[in-house]
Amino acid sequence: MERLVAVFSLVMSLYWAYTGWNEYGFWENRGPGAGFIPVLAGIFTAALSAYIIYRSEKLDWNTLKLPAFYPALAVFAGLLSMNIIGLVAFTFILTTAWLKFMARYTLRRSCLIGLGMTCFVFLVFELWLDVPLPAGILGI
Amino acid sequence: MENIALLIQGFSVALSLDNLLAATGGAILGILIGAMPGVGALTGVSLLLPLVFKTDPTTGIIFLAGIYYGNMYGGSYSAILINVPGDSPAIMSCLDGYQLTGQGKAGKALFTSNFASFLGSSVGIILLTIIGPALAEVGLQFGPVEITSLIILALSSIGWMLGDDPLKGLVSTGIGVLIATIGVDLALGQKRFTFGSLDLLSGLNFISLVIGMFGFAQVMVLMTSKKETMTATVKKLTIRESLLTWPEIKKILPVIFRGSILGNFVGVLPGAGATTASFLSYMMEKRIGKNRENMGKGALEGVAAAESADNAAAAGSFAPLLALGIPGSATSAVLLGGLMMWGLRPGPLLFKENPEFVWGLIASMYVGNLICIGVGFAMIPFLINLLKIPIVVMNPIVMIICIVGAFSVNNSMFDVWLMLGSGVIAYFFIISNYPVAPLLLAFILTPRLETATRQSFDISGGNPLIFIQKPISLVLLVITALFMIAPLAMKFWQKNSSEKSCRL
Repeated sequence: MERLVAVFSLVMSLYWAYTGWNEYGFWENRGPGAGFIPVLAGIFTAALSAYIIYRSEKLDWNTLKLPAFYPALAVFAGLLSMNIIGLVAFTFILTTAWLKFMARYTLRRSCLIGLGMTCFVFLVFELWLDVPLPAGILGI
Repeated sequence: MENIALLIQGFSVALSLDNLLAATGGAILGILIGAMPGVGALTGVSLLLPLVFKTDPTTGIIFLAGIYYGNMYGGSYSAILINVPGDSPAIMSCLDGYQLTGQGKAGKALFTSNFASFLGSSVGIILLTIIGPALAEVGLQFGPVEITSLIILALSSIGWMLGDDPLKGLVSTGIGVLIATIGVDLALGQKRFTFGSLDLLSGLNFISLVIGMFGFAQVMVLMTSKKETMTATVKKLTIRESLLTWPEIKKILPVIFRGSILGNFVGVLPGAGATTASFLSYMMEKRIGKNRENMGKGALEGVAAAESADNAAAAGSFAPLLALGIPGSATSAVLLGGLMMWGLRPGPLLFKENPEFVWGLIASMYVGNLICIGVGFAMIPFLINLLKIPIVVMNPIVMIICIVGAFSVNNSMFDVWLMLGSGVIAYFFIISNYPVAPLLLAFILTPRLETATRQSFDISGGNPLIFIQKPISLVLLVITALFMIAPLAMKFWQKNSSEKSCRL
């Protein structure tokens, strides 16, 4: 996988250096332009990334395990539906569903822990710290 | 001696019932806020500032200062237990603290963190008492040129110091610098790398990146882990085993002392702050410490170095704030706002015109520090019990904390998306053995580097020789060069000597 990260950083750093030089300007009015740091850091990172690509072994996709992406998929789905369900309800749904289906807890136990977590989020963040957590169509 | 007499007078102010309650309340709230990812000292002090609008200025500032340094204690708890730093200065505590948790030594890590925080704060407060105003003057010697060289020194060493492969560390540093340039360039007013997004105009949010790259990525890693709980030895987690042994204390005392002195000095520098202090101290220990080989793999010295420095820096930032009216960090800038709100003008005259206020505040820091360590130790049994929660239950809890923490920073869903994206990218980094910490540290240092570099060239009229004409800057650049050359020279020397021994 080290090659994949190196390719990502090579492409990114070359883009940064190119854009920094051509669009933002490297040196203006006897001082660094907006592209000064992007160009220097871009060239430096691109050179190192190229060397890592050169010395690294072929990509081994077996190191990627599907279960590792379950949390990202769950949060992704939750964020897409945030306008409908709201963050407080999402806390309850995510915690309860995770415990029921991933931990194989009983529905009652999952709901109780989910409720506890939801109360914690609501009381601490919404009530105490005044964080306006995103509400869903039910207004919570 | 005059300062000591004034401090004793200050204690009579600090130990009044109102001020004692304010220090206790501030310290406890600070610890709780610090342990909550995404909230942090800056948000905590800003949110609670309106609560003290109408109180006596001394009581009000004692309360806010308590939140500030209490936060430094609490930030490390979530870093050690679940690998989510409560605040940016606690990033370095994740590196060894979470490893210690994995080895069943969470109690020892928490104890070390409290102990180092207490001693770091104590050294910081004592220095503030004795040489606070003088220290502030020294801090002013660090202009843009010196700050530029100091940050170059820090940037060039983080990649080498963190992780097993220096090249990967440097790539990670480079990416951190690059993504720090996203947003409007404040000096020139030019949009950079925003890709037409309004959310990117103000750049990427640091706290969301930290929560994603440490906390969320860790959840992804734990999904494929065979461990059932966060720690290796749940049954053996007792308070007695959490206490440090005398040999362990002897081992970390010099580390704490070095970290406290360095942290206090960095705290005095305008704009440097506790995060810079904690990682400079960590890097120094990684370079000169006796147990440097084990740092990053679960060494108590790693936690001690980071925690002593960030607490000493928090105390140190009060020196320029009170003596010169210059905030050393973003949080002390809010405190400055509070002082001005009460009609006080920080600066040399504050010590003469309002000695009761200044020395009452400094005395309250001694009291608050004692309260913090008491509360910190009392919380250890509760905290280590949290580790008995199975990973499969802990995962959704950490995920929710990551989401709410990222949202709380700016009340913005964009920050939650950023947390998710950075978490996934960090997961690829982790499985490819790229260290994540250099990226975050470079990210936080780059804006300051860019500003200081511009100011330096403005001063010199575009002449780069200014960096070697200033003595402090020259010394820092020489150290940078030595830091860069030393590992290569060592490798070359080791290779040569092994070739010679092979021939023999």
